[in-house]
Amino acid sequence: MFNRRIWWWFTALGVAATSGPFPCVAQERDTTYSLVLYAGGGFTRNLTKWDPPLPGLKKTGFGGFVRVMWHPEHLLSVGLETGFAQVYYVAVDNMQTPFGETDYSSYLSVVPLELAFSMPIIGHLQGYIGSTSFFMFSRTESFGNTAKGFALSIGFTAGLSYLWPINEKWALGCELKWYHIEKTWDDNMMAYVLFSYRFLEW
Amino acid sequence: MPVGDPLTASQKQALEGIYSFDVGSNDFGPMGVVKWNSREYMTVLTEKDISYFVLRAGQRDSVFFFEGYWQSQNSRRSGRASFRVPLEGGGRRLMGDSSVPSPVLLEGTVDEGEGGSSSPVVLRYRWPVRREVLERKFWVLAHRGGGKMSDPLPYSENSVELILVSERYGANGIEIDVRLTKDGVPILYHDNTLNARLVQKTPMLGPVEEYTFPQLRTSVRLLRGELIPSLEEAFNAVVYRTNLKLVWLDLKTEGRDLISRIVPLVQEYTMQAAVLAEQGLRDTLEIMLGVPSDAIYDEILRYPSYTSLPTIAERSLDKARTLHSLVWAPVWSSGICRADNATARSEGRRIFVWTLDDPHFTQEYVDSFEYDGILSDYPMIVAYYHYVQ
Repeated sequence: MFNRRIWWWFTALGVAATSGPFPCVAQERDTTYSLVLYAGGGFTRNLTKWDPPLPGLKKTGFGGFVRVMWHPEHLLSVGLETGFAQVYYVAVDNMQTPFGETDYSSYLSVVPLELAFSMPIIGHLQGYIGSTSFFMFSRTESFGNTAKGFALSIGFTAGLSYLWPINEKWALGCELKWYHIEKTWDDNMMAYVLFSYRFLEW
Repeated sequence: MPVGDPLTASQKQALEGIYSFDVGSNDFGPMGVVKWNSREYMTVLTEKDISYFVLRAGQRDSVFFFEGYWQSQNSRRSGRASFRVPLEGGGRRLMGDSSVPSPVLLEGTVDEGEGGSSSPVVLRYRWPVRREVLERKFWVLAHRGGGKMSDPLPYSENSVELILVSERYGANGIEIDVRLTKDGVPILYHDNTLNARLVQKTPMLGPVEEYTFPQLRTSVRLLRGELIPSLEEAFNAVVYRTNLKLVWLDLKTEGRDLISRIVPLVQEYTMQAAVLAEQGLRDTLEIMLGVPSDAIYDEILRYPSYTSLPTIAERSLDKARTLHSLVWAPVWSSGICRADNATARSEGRRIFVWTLDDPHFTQEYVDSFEYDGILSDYPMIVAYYHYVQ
């Protein structure tokens, strides 16, 4: 699932986060409750091992998310996340088959709905995990037919985000996410650019 | 695989019967049934853990040898198996020397696969299968072409490959699931969606009926690597490459005129099988349309001369009467309904029960003599209880 390069990036991000003197955005005032919007987008990479390899498989795609977290005065925060992510797609032009030649394409994407729990780890680095329902959508075109499919899957999400405060309400950073989609046994890693906005506090 | 002369029909017949396990009863139980369930393969059916042996036989000089594999459906243990018939343990008798009354001994070893430990097994012939049992028409029907995907079978459910080996598990008939693709091709597939239970990893999701046959054939593989077969390919395999006597079509697609699409195929392949049967190349074959739901029932009623269709009415005896069904097939969990069975039988209908997988109930249903056939994911245990009666 995880390869060494990804672990290296996690480690590097952790070192960068812990070396900074900046306070944690969500915890800068102990007695404040706040609702914070996180949004981001970027690239996704399918990590599933394909055996046998699938001809025409494109493992890299794009995705994005929106997450609203309630940050109470203790460390553990809770919130909801949704978004969109391309899991992978397959495209083969002029595929030769016993039924003739055809262009073949097939896309698999998900809309996650996640109950997320996050916690500051150190410095600007936050970790989070979530129990996720994935709404899965497929679209396949070949032989003049377009077939759309839908399935629902359970799964989970885990991630690390690094947020650099711009002012009291806004912060900018990046996030590494991992989706595990149980129904199809797919694992995807996402590298997103991220901003956060504290839109309510009391 | 054995290298030698194939056994003659009389030698095969002499081997068939009820055996005891002189050695190996801890693994396989006290008794075994030896039966030639296909042209080439001899099957040894046992009771314990629904274990069975599939063996190919050969004769070289005075040696009769049998090689193949054994499999336990319950414990999932399996391995290679090889046997010999000693000259003084039935070998002379198999060679035609009837002056030697010694019972046939099958002496051999089984192992637990490559590198696994091996242990001796000895089967001793006890008595023949009762004549009444052999003469009785009884259908051992293998569910989904031979068994379900979660069981330790070499091929996927509803695949041509599984149909071709189903007789080795003791079946003399099969049940297969029929759906229509988007372009109207009847295929074998059980679930309504493409999913990880049945097919290898694919980006294609959703109802199988949304895809055309070329799409399914070029981009989807069943879980163990086979292609999703068309109904015609399945019929072709049954008629020309097996000696199966009955095919039960479980019709899954509703509201798309499935009946009128498959009836010509049913008639064509029933006729082709009849021609082969007349030539002595196979036994007669019946292909029957299952009626599992009200929607399929209504569709059959709309078909011209529907009473002439060979149908299996599931659940309702009234519907069996309306359709003039050849077979009434109650679900096994309804229990043994002797009164209804007697009524159905008095109306000239055969009675099949589905889908019975529990060995205890299988034995009870076989021994009740209430049924003409049992549909099961474990045809080996149905056949065992049938032959040991």
